[in-house]
Amino acid sequence: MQAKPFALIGVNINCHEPRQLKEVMEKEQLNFRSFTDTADGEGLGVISSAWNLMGTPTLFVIDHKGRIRYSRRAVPDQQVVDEVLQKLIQEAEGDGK
Amino acid sequence: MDRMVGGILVLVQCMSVAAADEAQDKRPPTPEQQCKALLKEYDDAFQAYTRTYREAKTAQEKQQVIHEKYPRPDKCASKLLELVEKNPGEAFAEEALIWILTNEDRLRRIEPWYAHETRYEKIWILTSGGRQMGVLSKEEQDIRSMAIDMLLRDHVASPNLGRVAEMLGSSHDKKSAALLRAILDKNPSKEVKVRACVALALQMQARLAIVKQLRADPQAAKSVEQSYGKEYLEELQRAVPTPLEAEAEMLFAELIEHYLPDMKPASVALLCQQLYYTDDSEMLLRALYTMDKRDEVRGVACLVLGQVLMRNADRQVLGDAKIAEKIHAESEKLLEEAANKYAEAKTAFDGPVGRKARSELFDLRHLSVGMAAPEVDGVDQDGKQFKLSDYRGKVVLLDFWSEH
Repeated sequence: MQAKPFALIGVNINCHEPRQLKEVMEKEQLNFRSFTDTADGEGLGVISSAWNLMGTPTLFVIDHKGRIRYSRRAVPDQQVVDEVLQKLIQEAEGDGK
Repeated sequence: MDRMVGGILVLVQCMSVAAADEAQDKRPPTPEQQCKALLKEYDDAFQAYTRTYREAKTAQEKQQVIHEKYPRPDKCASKLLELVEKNPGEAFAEEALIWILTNEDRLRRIEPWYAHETRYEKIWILTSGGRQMGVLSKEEQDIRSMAIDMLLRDHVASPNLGRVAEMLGSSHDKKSAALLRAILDKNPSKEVKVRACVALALQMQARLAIVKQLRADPQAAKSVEQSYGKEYLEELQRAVPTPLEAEAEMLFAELIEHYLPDMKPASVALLCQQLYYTDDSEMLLRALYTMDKRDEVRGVACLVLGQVLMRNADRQVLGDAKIAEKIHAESEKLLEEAANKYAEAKTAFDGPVGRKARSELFDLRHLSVGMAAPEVDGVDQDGKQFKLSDYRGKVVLLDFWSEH
């Protein structure tokens, strides 16, 4: 997957300082890049609010043009996410050529 | 995760009773005592498993605990069944059979999705508790089927079958449907009957959804077979949607006219919301939305139907854009109706219908499939500033997560 036009990006919703988030991710052995959300003063994170977050896990798949193409506000279905990613990666590769 | 294990524990604990003072008693234990001892043994093993699971530190360790310590209920179930077979009709037999059907569990091979990303192995294990729904083994099927037979034969009028009926709502086999029908015919308890009818409706809805899916996409056969077995697949491949739909409509009408009026609006609201989490509940929700006489029920059904349609439109990502647009438009209409006409109706766990509907309308207009992703601008775990749009040109899987 490394060479493909694909990136897994996290948004940690717990509004840690970056250093704290790094510790959490090391402890949990998580190896992707993640935003850390910032508290908005009303008990929510700025990013989480903007994305109308209801809970985790929540996934969005965004295509190479920046459009939302899939979302899932629950435990993801492996097969569907795989299919969507494959299709969109093919689209991205097609456009890149 | 803790909450989920807690839920299972409570269930198991309710059903277990401290073993009698067998040590002082020289006589061989009665079947009832044997039954209690078996349940206690299972309960103890389950508690030991939960403790060890909590103590395990890494995802790998937890996975190992699941593999090694998870007490399979089918082993306990087969011993219970043997006991019931020798002593049919006794009071403990009913408890044992209910235990078998409500604790039936499916410990399956854990297949982490996204094997190259540790993150998703973890999500999978945490959310599924290491269990995966799937086809029961031949042995498990036999246990289940015998337990159903015996309940049907000896205990069909029991007032304690509500929970069993509810569980059978997610089953797909003919036997469980037969038990539910028998409960509707013979059980005197209104409460048990309501749950049996809801369960039958859910079974019908699921069957219909699969039949339609198989017609639309023959490729789906593989996953249907994987999930429900070859026999069921073949039965559904032979089924014709139209009469099945008519049958479902009759059942839904029976449910709404005869049984649901006995249920409090709050319970029906909860049912509507649960329908969001089952696949293809559109038809049943439409029936509730158009046929239930109570505004507080229709409001919640209207909201959830709007939500389900939004999800259906989003799912068209691999399908037809025109169809997606049409579903999207109907979803917007329903959500607006929910926000305006039914604003005061109460959902079971999402607050007033109006507020939830407005929040869903925001999703529909800004966060649904086809919309431009809102910018995310923030810092990463190294304190480095970056933006979601930095990844333009790449497909991004944006994952909102929490370590809690």
